[in-house]
Amino acid sequence: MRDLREVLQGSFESHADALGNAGRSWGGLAARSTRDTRNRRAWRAGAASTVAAAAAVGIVATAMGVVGGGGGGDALNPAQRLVMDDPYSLGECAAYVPANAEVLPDGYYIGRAYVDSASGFVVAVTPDGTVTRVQPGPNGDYPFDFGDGHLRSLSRPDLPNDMPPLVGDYTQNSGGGDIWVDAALDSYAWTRVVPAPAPDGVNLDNLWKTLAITLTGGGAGYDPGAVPDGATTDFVAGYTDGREDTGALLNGGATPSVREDIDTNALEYVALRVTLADGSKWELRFDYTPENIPDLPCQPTPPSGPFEWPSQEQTAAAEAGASEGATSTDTQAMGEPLSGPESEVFQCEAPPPADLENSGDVTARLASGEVMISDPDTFDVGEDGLMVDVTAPLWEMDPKTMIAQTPRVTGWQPTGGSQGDGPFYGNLTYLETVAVSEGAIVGVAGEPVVDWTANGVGGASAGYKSPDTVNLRGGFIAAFNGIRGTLQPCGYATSADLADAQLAVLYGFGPDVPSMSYGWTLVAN
Amino acid sequence: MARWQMLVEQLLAERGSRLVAYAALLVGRDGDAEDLVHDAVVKVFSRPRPLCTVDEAEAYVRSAMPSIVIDKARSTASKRRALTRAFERAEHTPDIDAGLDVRAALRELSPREQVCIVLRFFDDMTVPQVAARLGLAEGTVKRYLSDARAKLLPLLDVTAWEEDQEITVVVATRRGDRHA
Repeated sequence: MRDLREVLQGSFESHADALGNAGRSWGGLAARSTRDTRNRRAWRAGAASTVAAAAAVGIVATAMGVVGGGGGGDALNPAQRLVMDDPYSLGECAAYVPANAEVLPDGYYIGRAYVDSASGFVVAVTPDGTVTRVQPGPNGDYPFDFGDGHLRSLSRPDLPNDMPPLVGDYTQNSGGGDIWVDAALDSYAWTRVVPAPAPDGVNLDNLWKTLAITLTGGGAGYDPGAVPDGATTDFVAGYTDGREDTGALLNGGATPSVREDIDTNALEYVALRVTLADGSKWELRFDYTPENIPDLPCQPTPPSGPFEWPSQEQTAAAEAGASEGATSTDTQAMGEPLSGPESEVFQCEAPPPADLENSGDVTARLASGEVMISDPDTFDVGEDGLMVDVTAPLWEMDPKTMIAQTPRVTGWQPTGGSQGDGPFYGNLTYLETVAVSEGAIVGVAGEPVVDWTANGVGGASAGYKSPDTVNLRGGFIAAFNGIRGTLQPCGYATSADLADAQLAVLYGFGPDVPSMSYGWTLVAN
Repeated sequence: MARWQMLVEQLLAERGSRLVAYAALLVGRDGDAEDLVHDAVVKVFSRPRPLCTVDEAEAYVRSAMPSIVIDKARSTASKRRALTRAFERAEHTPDIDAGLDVRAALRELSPREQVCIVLRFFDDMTVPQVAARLGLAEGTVKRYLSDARAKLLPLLDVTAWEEDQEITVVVATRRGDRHA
């Protein structure tokens, strides 16, 4: 008979030793962990506020006449035009064009988009190295025109994906709403290679789209008309040991998927290999190097001081689409909790102002089990989940101004929407969960108050309460299954200080940062 | 390369085996354990934290795992993640034999029971600590431990461990000693 502790300990030690002795390399695990962490950081920094805005827009109105519903059209409505330009410098960036790009037809490759996790922005890079930091559109995507008159959604964090499409390569024929994007795959792991100019009669664009199926699941089936008479095309998967799996493509056939059909462990490349009538070969290849994810090609200018929000001049410049003459400054760095404009009112190790307690229409309570989100939809918040009910004031305002003025620090998000063709009402919302002990703030929850993405919860229950207020009741969930477990001590506080602390929610609403009205409330058990 | 990224790589290079072995106690299978380590690393490092050393990082990542296991049982999002990453590793990561009998027995438990057992008897946490970590009531934790014991006893050649009441006494005594 053995003691259970010893049994567990023995199992652990022998297992760990065996894993080590087996020579298991954790490089792959490190690579995908790093990749997903980077995406998650970018997601949190760059998309959380826009998702909140998009969700709130969805709450308030289904017809988005003012801010536009996307729709896939090429025309730029005024709202989209205003948010797609940004004057702030990103520093030095690589051009980031496909390998051997000089063999591509003129104007064929128009650029790449990716999320710069350091700054939290989606950026677009054109082949000449011009970098544009793309701000989110009011409906949560990142609309951008590479200069060919097509408006494309570079990223759609508003879609219900765990890891939304973050990066993509674009060619002249990838139209708005029908983009060639790497979706959940890490685009950095793939390098496009066109070894030589396409021979006469080879339709590069068609073959590019066919091979895209392998990476994205989307594209075009093989068209024999994409190669000259007498030519055949094989799909090839090449591995690091020199082995190749090949298969002939037939009319309309799809290339195998790296998600389902291809063992990526030792994969080196996938390719379409065209054998011309004279026996010569030409291929279009995507190289796969997941263990060598390069550093981000942009090196943003480090923040030179404490958080600042754009000046009226900068905001006006952004709204006007002016890209010349604006100052180069990184005002959008993601800050630590309680380091944004709210720090004028709330500080770690200081009491939240007594006169602001319950000064707004905000309540917070712990909840467990199934809670009503939107009748009849419920969500299991586990035990020790936190529900925050908010009735927030709104102001008639321009959505771009709202977004531009929202500090990109923890707890801040723009909220607003419109009814049909009616005016846009919105606000800047600040919400943060903290721990209060002996009257002072001693910790901050590690999860944002609004975490739509993690929980898959939409805020569909809210609606207009009056023409100038919105009731977000039931739409805000701070965390599920253990909000206390996410608390982190701040300042000189320690974990011990959190043990007996009370939870409180800090909040603020306003048409702009200087006009914010703050308050706080204790979380009811 | 960002500092957090270097720390992730160093963490997994130096402690990858121990993290996976710990995760395997929580989920039972090596492949699932790697996914749990991945999820915990992403959760810990996706927010700025004052982590400087591998020891600190390992502690953070380990402490993040239990709640992830319980959340996974509930979340449809985690199922989508599992599908997404299934292509990223060998289809069937084989279980290593060492200690497999124990992990196989643990797999007979529900996720919450398994997590409670590991926190209580591997991490040596008290029932109140387990409850606080998982956001569960102490009574709920005791019930999980009791149910788990009933399932494990026929499977593992182990002695019965101390009762919860005895645990409480031990904790009280330690506190008394500390303040004496």
